[in-house]
Amino acid sequence: MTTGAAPRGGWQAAWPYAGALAIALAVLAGLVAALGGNASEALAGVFRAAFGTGAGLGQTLNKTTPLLLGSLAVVLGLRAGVFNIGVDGQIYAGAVAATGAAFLLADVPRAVALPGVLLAGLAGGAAWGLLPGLLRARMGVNEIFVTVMLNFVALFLVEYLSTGPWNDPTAGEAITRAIPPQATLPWLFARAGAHAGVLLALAAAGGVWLLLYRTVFGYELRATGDNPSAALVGGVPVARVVAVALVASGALAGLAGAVEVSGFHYRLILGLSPGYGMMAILIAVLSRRHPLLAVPAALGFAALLVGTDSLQRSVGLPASAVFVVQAALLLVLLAVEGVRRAR
Amino acid sequence: MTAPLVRMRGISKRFGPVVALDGAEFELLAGEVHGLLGENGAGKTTLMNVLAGLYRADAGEVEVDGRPAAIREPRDAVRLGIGMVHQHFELVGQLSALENVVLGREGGAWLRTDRLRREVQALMERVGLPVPLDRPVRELPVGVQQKVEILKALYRGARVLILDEPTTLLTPQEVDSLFASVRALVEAGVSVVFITHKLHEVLRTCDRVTVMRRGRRVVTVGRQEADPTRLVEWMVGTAPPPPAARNPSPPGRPVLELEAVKVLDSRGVLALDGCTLAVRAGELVGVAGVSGNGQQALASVVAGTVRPASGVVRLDGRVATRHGVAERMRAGVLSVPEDRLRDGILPRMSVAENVLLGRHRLHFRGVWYEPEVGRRLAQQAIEEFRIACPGPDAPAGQLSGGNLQKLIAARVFGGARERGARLLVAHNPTRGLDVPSTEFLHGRLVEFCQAGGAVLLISEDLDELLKLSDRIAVLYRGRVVAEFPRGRFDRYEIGRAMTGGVSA
Repeated sequence: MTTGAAPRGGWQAAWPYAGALAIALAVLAGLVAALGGNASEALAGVFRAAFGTGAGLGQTLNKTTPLLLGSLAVVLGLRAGVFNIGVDGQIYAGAVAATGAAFLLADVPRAVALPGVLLAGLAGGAAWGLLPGLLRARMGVNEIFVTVMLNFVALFLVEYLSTGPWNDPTAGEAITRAIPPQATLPWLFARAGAHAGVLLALAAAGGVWLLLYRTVFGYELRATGDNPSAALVGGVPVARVVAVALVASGALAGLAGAVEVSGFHYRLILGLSPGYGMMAILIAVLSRRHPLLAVPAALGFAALLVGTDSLQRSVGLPASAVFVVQAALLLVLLAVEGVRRAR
Repeated sequence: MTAPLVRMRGISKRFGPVVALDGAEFELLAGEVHGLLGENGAGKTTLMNVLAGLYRADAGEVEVDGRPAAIREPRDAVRLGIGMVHQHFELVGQLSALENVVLGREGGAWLRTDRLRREVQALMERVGLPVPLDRPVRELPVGVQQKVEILKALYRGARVLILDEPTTLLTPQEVDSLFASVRALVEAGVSVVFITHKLHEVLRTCDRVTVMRRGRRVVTVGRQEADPTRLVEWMVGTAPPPPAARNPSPPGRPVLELEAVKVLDSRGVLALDGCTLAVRAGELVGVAGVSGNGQQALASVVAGTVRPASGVVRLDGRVATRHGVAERMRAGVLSVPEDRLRDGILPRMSVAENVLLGRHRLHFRGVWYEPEVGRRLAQQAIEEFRIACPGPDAPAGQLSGGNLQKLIAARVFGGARERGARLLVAHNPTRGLDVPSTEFLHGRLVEFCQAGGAVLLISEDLDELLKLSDRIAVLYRGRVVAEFPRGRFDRYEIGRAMTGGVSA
């Protein structure tokens, strides 16, 4: 992919993904049957749950938001040649900052409070990207270690805040008090329960595309990711580019955290991210590191998650069996992608 | 005279357009140390790689023990008792010396350490190569690692041991120890081929010498007939230097000055060891030398990708020692890197995006990037430099080596034109190019010089340097050991300086 305007091969490149989806659904049907469910009913249920009803569509869009933002964070890193596997930590860091900002901005109008909350999320995630960025740029420390370690730091920070200073005493769980209403995202489709976060995520996809393909910094970033020594010989400040890329990557993930707080949970909770960071890596790989292809990939992924969640209701699978189905689907997608790349 | 142990006849080998071996001949007698001498690119290593089964020759035949031998892969060579120790060792760092020596020959499912240890110890005693068997190999000094490699070859039953430039990485003490080991090996019945470009090593250790040039054997002589003067003549040829490609320009002000520059390479070894050199405006200075004598460090330190450990770099009279690449570029320094795949090309990005690299800050002053600019420049470059490619949007990684080199040249000369560049550093810029492309590139270098630019041309091709340079500086062990103005070009003297003189 070189121009960014049109992914090479156009629609012809899409057929392996259609194949992957078909295989995934076949595996799904097989698993459901093996677990004692009605396979055809399950498949219909998956589709109905993800797209067939307003509420289902709303859930799918809500799930798309953190997945898309997270995968954009991974794409940006990969394009600069760094592997950000700390997206979960950055989501939590963004969520913490957003929640804190929401509490601080309790007495201001929404026009101030909401942007403040979202910016705080960006800043929190960026801060979580800054440390690995600086360590990589200054001392060549591998970003994989640092980002993974920071995942734990962020998790424990959330645990401390949600059980300690920000704890909601009436809840009896690890969740914080609710944020004030003027810090919450407006509805996109109120009746479907879809918040406007997906618009932010779509804008971010466009923004990342613009950054990569229409700014000088994006050119330098892609050059750095493609061949850092050639970029260096070409006068690109490689270390700085890598550091900025990690900060920007963290900021995108942080925004995902802010959206989860301000659009979905209305509070900071432990378990805010059910592994979005890892799914984001998979989506980034499936979309071949292209920010616009990440949109359909994230949407499809979200639909699969929402749809399989419904298996509990439609064919009465236990929750743990649903996780087994979801995990199996991830493996199938990964394997298909591996086969595609090998050819 | 008995039949030679190994006889190679009419061996030819091409790599794409490059002829590496052109009907080469070689004979190895039992119980001798045979020096294989020649400049870089003469075909020494390629010839031995054919013998060791790493390359398959396009033509020619090999006999071992007087019988035709079909060597198709390394296993065949091992079966015939041929072992090779490469310049860069192939050892597993975490494993012990013993484990490395027996690797792949353990036999059975269980590691019979005691039996294997007895075998290896017996071998060490027989050939006089003691090494500590139990320490991880990566903790051993390079000289000892080399002995582990030799043991590995012998353990696999080598009667013919090929050593490829074995002294490159060694300290003088380790070299002495290696030469003693080689003598011991011969006494134990092993025949040794010693690939080198250093005269004094040949004269010190070898019974006979084969000199190669341009993929062919020049001569094979016994040590008595091998005096240094004739060896150098055989290596570099006696043809008079080619006529100058241009009229020398009147010398201008110094553009580049290096003063006692020292550079450490990634291993912490001094790659440049007090290098002093100046290039003036309108002057083309050629840097001759056997590769590995600091050329890479010289090119990097001038381009600004590495900082010197000590010494001063001046550009147009101003100190630029600590400036990075971008600052050097703004000061008018452009470079053609030696390793185009490693340092020149963005393989997954388009030809257009590659042509822009290093010039993008000139074409885009602000934040925004316009793909059309690169496409336009690429279209020009494709026409001007006759780059064979599907178009500006094709990924650069799909281009052939020669076309990649043209792409880099187009980028550099384009940048030079736009920037009014002052200094061009070119490291082996025509390697792998066909004759018309080489001529074209030479023309551009000369043109750049005649327009008042300074050129530092680092090349392993002495003919290229003789043709283009106003002055040739010889780099040996990280220093300029000799300089020759055009009036005093002399292949023999230059070749002698390149090989460290005879006494070095």
